[in-house]
Amino acid sequence: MAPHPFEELSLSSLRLLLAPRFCLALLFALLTLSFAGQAHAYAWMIRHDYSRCSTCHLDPSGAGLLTDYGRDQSDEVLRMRYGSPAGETSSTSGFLLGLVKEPSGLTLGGQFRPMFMELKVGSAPFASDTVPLMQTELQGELDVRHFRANLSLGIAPTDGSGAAITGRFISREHWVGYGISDDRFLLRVGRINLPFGVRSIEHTLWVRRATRTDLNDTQQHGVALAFDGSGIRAEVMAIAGNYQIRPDAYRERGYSLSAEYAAAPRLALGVSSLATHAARDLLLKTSNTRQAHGVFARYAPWEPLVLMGEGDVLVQHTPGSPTLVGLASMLQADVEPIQGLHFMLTGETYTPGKQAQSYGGWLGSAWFFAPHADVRLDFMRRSEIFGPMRLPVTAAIAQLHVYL
Amino acid sequence: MSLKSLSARLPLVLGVALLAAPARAVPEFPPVIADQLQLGYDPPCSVCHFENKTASVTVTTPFGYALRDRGLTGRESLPGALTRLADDHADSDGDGVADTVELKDHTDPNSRANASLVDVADPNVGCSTAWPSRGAATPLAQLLAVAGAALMLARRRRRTPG
Repeated sequence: MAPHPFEELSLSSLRLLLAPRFCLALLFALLTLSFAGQAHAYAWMIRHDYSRCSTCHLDPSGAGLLTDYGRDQSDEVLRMRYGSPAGETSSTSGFLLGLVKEPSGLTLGGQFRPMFMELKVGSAPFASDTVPLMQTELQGELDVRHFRANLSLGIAPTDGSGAAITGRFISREHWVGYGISDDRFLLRVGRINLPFGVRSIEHTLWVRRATRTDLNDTQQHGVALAFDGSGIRAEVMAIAGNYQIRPDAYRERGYSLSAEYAAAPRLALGVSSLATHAARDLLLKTSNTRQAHGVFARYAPWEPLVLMGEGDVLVQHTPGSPTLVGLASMLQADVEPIQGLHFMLTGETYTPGKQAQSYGGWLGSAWFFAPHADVRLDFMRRSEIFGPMRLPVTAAIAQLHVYL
Repeated sequence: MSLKSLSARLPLVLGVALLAAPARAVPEFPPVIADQLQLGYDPPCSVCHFENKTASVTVTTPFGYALRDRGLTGRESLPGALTRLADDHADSDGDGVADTVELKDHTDPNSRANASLVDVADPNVGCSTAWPSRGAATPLAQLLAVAGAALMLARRRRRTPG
């Protein structure tokens, strides 16, 4: 009996993954190149009329593994071309710089991001931190007809990550899905990025940290249904909790949703909503029901300039305490004067409720200097409220990012 | 390779990975805080580390920032930072109770809800709960172990006739 197509493809993919040459290539990539990864979520790609995420990413809500077209676009419009025509895609745009061709139905990626940071809190002097494994991750997705299975494995820079499998081994995403109605709908079950707000790589922005919807390790297990139609993309997720955290009291349950409408090729407007409850909140260490409801927008009035903004109302209810209503907001301008060179100016505010407002600003630059590689420099200055204290926090951050 | 033979080999790969794990921070700081403030218990890592993720870059809780503001840069500077924190009667969560008093009362200096630090432990993550000894395998060693196991399995497969 002929093997089922799914089994045949799965086994051929597994054989490839276990092949010594392939393992060596991966090892080489991780340890020598150490520059792996899928291009992350670059919401400013709307400047190229890409309001939809699924054009370039396998995840309909953005971020993570790139489609073949996404890889081509990363080579044509993302990196610096040094005078060569943008319409010519380099052979290095593929996985592992094109050295390895995945079998049909299998998509692989990965990334590596070391970081160096100088941090100054209050009147203390600057303190240095080097995080060589800020992000080290491999990700794969198997697509057979309408079935999809996605798995990411990596190493966390800290102990205690909410994405941990064991020790510092982590899995940020692992899910199986099924495409419905010509894949306009995608039903997924597993650990998934929460659909909420602007999906950006700056996971410490207050809009991401306060809503706990970053790409770092706040993914949750649950069931999600995504819709990707002409002009509208949306996703709603029933959150069952993070099953990589114990005991159960720490698991948040509820929902998260996001919807974005492309009002024009370079203008997208969105709404988000989230409500969860945990018997013991990770931060507050007490029962907590929290909500976040907000709006976000992306707009490119002129190709070199993209404006992105998000505002989220935060509601927090803990037993025995009055309900707190706060706000987190962000406005970012991304300027790309030359292809591959970005300057970012970001302003943000955060008010948890019944406290004075914290505010901050970021000045950053990113240079996509080669295929699959970029360097990023950020200078951040925040004025943060802690109880009755207002503390200035200053950080200078340098990162190298290379993706396979 | 059949799915059956693959599933038979999978435990070996997982076993190597689990043997190499876990690598967690050595708990040096909590005893220093406990001794200096005479707490009678070791405060959990989450008092200083955001979401209980332990690394120097995650000392970003309000209490952690209060210590950084008072000179915390490493283990040697912790006693001095704690002394200054106590002298200043710092109150990181703004609930009117000084941080050092909260720690002596077994309550979280980051939580206005005065959550207990001793009744419920910090969460465990992943599949391993053991607190390792100093010198436990590093993440890189874990990665090498898994890659090595995969290579070994692949070579064994090539040598196996048929």
